[in-house]
Amino acid sequence: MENFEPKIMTFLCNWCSYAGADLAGVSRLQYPANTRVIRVPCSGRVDPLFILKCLQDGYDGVLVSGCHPGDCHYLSGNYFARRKFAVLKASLEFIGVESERVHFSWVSAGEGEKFSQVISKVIESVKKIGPAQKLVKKR
Amino acid sequence: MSKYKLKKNNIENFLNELREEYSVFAPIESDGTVAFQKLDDVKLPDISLKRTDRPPKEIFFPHTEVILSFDDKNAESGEYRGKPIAVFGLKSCDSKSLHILDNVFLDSSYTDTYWYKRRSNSLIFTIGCNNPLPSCFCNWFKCGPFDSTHSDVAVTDIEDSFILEPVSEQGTEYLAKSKYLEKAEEKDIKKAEALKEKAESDMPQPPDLKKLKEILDNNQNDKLWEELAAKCLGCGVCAFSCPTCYCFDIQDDSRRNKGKRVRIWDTCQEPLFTKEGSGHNPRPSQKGRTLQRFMHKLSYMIETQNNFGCVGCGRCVTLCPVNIDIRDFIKKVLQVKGDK
Amino acid sequence: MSNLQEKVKKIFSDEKLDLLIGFEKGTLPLRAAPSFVRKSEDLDKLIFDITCQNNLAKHLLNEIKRNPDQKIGIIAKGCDARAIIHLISEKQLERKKIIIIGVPCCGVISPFKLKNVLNGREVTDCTINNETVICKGKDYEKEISRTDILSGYCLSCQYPNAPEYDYFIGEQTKPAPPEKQFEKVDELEKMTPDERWEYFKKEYSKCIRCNACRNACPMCFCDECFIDRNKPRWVGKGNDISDIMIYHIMRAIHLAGRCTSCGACSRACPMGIDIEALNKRVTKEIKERFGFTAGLDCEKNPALADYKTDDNDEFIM
Repeated sequence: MENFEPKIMTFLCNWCSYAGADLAGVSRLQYPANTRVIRVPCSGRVDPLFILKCLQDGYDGVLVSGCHPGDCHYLSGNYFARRKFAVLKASLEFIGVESERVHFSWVSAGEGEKFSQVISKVIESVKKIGPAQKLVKKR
Repeated sequence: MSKYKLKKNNIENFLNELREEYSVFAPIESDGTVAFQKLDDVKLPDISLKRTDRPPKEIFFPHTEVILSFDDKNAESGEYRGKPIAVFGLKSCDSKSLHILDNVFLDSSYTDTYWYKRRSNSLIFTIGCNNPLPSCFCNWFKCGPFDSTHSDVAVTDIEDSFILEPVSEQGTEYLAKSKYLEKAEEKDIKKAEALKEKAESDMPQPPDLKKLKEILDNNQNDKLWEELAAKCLGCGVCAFSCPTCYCFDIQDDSRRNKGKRVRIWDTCQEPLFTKEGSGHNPRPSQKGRTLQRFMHKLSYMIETQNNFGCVGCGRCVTLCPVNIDIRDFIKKVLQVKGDK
Repeated sequence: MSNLQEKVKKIFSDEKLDLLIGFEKGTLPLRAAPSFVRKSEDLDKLIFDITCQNNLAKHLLNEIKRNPDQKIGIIAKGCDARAIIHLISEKQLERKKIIIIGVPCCGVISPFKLKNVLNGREVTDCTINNETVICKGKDYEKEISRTDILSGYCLSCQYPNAPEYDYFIGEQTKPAPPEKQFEKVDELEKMTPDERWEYFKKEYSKCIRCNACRNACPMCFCDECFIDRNKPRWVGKGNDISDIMIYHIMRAIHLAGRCTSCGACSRACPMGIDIEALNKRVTKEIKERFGFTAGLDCEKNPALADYKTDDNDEFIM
């Protein structure tokens, strides 16, 4: 467990969080390199199925990040996303999947610092629970 | 041929002995569902002699079967390599269903390896139905509660023991060498015969099905089909509980450099079943799909193997969520002619 | 002719209905089947009792898809009516084309429970009493308490009567005590996550992927379900437990704020899987978090097609 380096899938909204990640990079902020990034137009684009599919394919954790409430480029995409994620989180917890596997955050284009902190926090909490087992498909 | 008697307190020994040579399946109840399960040291036979809720086809044609596993260097066939399979406690309708599936999978022009490997040298113990259920109608299709034509050994439950009668050569050979059998006495055989007669006479008289195919073939536009399709939910309960439905889908499931090819039960009731790569679906309506299922069972299979595709087990009758009852449907179809 | 048949006949002619969807006696004892009546004289076969297990809203939707220009009357339990109301709020049905005929519902039988109570024996004859059902078979007779065989959803039903209707035949029935509604969820929530995981794994491993739950559900009306999407394929159709889990979780999520707790899915399931628990958990989340209950108001937006700017986001970093 000591040497466990989790694989994290991150879905970043094009307008805020992706730019925030970019800023973290440009500002040379250090954060662990365990993430794979998928850029999506909006956090509202993220279907809960994407998240489950990541867990099925062996990702140890998933992060979805979008614009702060009120800042959505499409006005309300993140508000809908917020409701969807609340339901997904409740369902996963209920079915017994560790709640530390799936995370959500609001990161704006100016929050490079916050982005690196979020990533560190996600990785820390996933490290605590170890590699994904439940929901992983054995092939 | 000589008949044998197996005392019920010896059934465990008998099945253990059978397990030395065979991989043995028997109906076992768990969580309210009876299904054929493989017996092992832990799962020793708390054998339920009920009709299984899940069809016996899954012993030889599993719901999900890996037919190939591969990585970037090797590929390996998933065909069965275990001991020959023995099934204890099939009902006569179920053993007939295996025969029907043999005709499908072991066609003269093509042999399905995966079915063949499991099915070859299998030993089938068919148990007579002392109490056919109200939903049973095997006698509609030239079969009966004690029909053992398509089995190796015919078994009759006479309360304190079983009477075993070999049917095939393989059955004769096996029974001759079993340690736990004794010769059946005349009174036991009489008892078994009485049970058989009683069960057969208990079942309601079947309708005459001689004209069924002809009526079906000539009345595919009858409003009966509309009525049926309106009720039907298009789920797969009937097909998945049916002992003779054999359609399957093949999918590749791979990730990175590793994967497997699986074949999975499929059902003609799903739109996806006929959907083509182009996106076109030649059977777009539920009416067409319902028609396909019933026509296949009651007409097309007579053409392909001179047998109805239905064995009258009654599983779909009891499990259908909207109470579509094939018996009721057949009776209605037979009347279509009567009206004209 | 029963009271129901008589009244429906009058409605049928008064409203000039093209079609009435109701229930008729099934071919097996204690089973009813959906009935589609287009001629007034056929209304004599209508029944309504504890055997009417289907959600007719599903059939209504199918009929409207087949022919949108008919005026349809429908016999509706509380849950059927709620499903119709919710489908109207999702613009799948038009209120003015549907005549909802409410009937008092005391719950319906779960065939799987019945089968187990009878230990697999089949029924040849039955009598339905107020508190019990007497089942007779070839060599037995058994009196069963209704609560032993009613669907779990019915035992916790909060809306046994149609919340909106054009006609109501009979006297309205009483809902279950409110604390019953999420009893099953609360019980499971007392377990540890790992225990729950084991519970659901065991339940879902019974799944044979027949899709009866989806097809019986009035809310599952997508032309193409996510499990049928195969370019690329999202979820496998086999009995891999991970695929099964994802199917059931996703279906629960797709029903979030839409499930009217009719239980048609669990009664259609041939394997007796506990579909109720997860669906109810989601219903509870929607109720507590967003204050929304599906199928009560034709005009209200479903919970996940709506938002408030100040929705709670305590779980977001």
